[in-house]
Amino acid sequence: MWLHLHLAKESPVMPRKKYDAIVVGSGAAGGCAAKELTEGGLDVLVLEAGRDVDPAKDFNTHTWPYQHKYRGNFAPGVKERTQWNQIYADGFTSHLYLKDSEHPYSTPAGQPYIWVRSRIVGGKILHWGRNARRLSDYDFRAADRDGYGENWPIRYEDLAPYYDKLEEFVGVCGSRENLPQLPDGKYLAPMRLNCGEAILRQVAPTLGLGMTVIPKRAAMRPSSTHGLGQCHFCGTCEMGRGCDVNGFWNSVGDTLLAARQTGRLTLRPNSVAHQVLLEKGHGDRVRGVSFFDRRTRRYQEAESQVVVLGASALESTRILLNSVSRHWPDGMANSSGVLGRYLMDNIGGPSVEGFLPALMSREVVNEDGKAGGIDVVAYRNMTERHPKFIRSYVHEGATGAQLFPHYANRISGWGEGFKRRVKRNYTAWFSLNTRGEMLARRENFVEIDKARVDAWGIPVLKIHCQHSDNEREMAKDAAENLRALAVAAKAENIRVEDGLLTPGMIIHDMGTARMGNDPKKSVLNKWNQAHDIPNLFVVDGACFVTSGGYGPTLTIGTLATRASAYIVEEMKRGNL
Amino acid sequence: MRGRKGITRREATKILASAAGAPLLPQLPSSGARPHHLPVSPSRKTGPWVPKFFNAHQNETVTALAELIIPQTETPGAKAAKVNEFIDLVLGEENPKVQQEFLRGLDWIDLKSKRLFSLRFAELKPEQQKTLLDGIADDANTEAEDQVGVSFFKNVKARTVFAFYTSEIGIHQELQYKGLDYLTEFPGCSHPEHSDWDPKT
Repeated sequence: MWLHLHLAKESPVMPRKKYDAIVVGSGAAGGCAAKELTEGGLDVLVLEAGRDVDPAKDFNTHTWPYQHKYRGNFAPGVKERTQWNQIYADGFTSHLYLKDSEHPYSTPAGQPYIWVRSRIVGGKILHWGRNARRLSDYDFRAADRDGYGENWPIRYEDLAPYYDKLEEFVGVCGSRENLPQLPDGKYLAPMRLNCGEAILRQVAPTLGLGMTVIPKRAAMRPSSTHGLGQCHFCGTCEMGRGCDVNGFWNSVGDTLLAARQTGRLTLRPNSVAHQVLLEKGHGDRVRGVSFFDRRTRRYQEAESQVVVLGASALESTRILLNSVSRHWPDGMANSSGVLGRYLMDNIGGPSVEGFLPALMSREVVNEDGKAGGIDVVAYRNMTERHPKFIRSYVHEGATGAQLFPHYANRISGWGEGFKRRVKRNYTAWFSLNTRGEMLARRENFVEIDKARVDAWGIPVLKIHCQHSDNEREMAKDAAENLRALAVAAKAENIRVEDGLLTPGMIIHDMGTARMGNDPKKSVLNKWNQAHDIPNLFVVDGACFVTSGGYGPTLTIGTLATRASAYIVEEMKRGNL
Repeated sequence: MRGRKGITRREATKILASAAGAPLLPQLPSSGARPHHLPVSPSRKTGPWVPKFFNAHQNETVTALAELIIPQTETPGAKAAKVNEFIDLVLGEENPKVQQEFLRGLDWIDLKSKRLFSLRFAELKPEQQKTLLDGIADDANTEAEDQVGVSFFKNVKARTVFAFYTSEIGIHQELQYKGLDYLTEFPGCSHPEHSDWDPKT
């Protein structure tokens, strides 16, 4: 039952038993793995580094800014002292993110990487953007198309049934569009478009760039599915606060809950994974995971037949890099030397904002309650090749009245005229941003910073990540096209941003333990299984070969589901 | 709590609970419940509000500036929304550099005001205040002696905008925001001129 979704009993004493599988992480990846493994009959221990979550208390839904002492901001100075890299945390959500003061990492001078993290049951999927686009063979076979980098070891058809399965369970709303670069899925009815979105949908195709506007494909449940929590259109999830009724895919109210209902899940929060442990005398077989109790800092070990890492791309890789031994002096399962390499985020930054004259001074209606706007589907490098960059990008848009008029400081002047202009534009506002592919490059990598440890004494990562000319050219192109779209929509007071955001800021950390068919060029095989260690799996964003699709979460959950189904089958056959 | 144009919390609970997922649904928090992580607004139960950071004159000046930037029209303005109280609260906890910069701006406003009209800003007639503000609200003003004022205007405007549009008055009376509600379905656009789209499901 719901029972506050306190999924875990308070700090269970670890029984001296051997689990079938240990899953590290309880977010998108860990939740899907736990569901599939337990439903397949396995006894599963999920280790989560953070505390348990209580949706009734933790999400601050239906709370107005004026009910908060600092109107939803941090108290002055607090963020700078404790959570300086958790850029999306605010006064309503700070407890959903970790404290940088306890979880440091390093970057080379002048090469910042913003690493946004949540250590709590559910992880980042508690407050994600809910964009649920499928990847296609434009992504899986990208190297075939333009000669750059590697293909994935799987094709769309390998993943399609698992996309179906996950979407059908967690609920994804969207329209069927029949576009080759964005395969349709098993959808609940899409959210209706707002006025501004409908206008942009009419205007975009007139630019001749191949732009198609569709309603956001969102992992939200506007109608009931599997008896799971249902959206009531309050819009708070778009503010990153979570959902007190679990109306969207958030792991705790769906996949983890399903795992718990099998009776075969043990969830242990406050368990900070340290290393994957090798079977004595064997370099090619693991026996479990060591961890520290977050509160007591006591060292513990748990044992299992299979270890499944789903701790987020960079945390899973950190665990492997920290799992050094006589057999694996440079990190576990790293015979290729590729572990830690090919780090990616999606690019962001290029954006446009303005006001649609047709919508000025209209009656205010509820426009942000659906918490989902529009997508401009990928349109570059589809049929024609762009001369300056390879790969593609999408735009995500929102229009109409939002809780806070962020544009108000851009309206000049003061007094009655100023107040009226803010109000006149309130219903006319629109904004579109960009999410694009960052190339997988060997020189973007993570390593262990041997000079630094976190609050539990575990060595931290040093992250090396920079954009290349391909990302810069892509950003320029995206900004130009967004301006053209705003002009075609006859928008007023257009503001275009054309710079790239610091890597990491889109929170789509991917790569560093990529999949591949060649063990010399990849860490994992096509089943997310370590080439070097058959009973070790990595099922989160670490396995990504490219950063296409512009939103990895749905594919992470799908790959975790597929890998877990494989584990169940292989265990039945006695192969693990 | 009743949604602005929607259903009550109780009704929402009922509707949600009648859905197939009833056993999995939590109780919605009662309207009086406060999530445990939320710092609550300062209590106003004891006597009239007094500024903690500003002195009485500074508070008077900030109140006047905020009301000039967002005045009462057919809806209440910054003064009614107690914008000065929120600015006082936040500045009082800011670091000394931020505090000094703001106070320097307030001093500058009075100095300029005395030079032009021989009175402090809060004591000026509305037309005189307007003259002074127009000077520093103008980005094209590059006079060296006005730069403190130009930068201070941006500072006080940003603080006023934030405090006003996050206040009860700003959100409900001025903007008439309709979100953060409980709905059984999302209405979307109903204008025939925009509705060429029929979702394919």
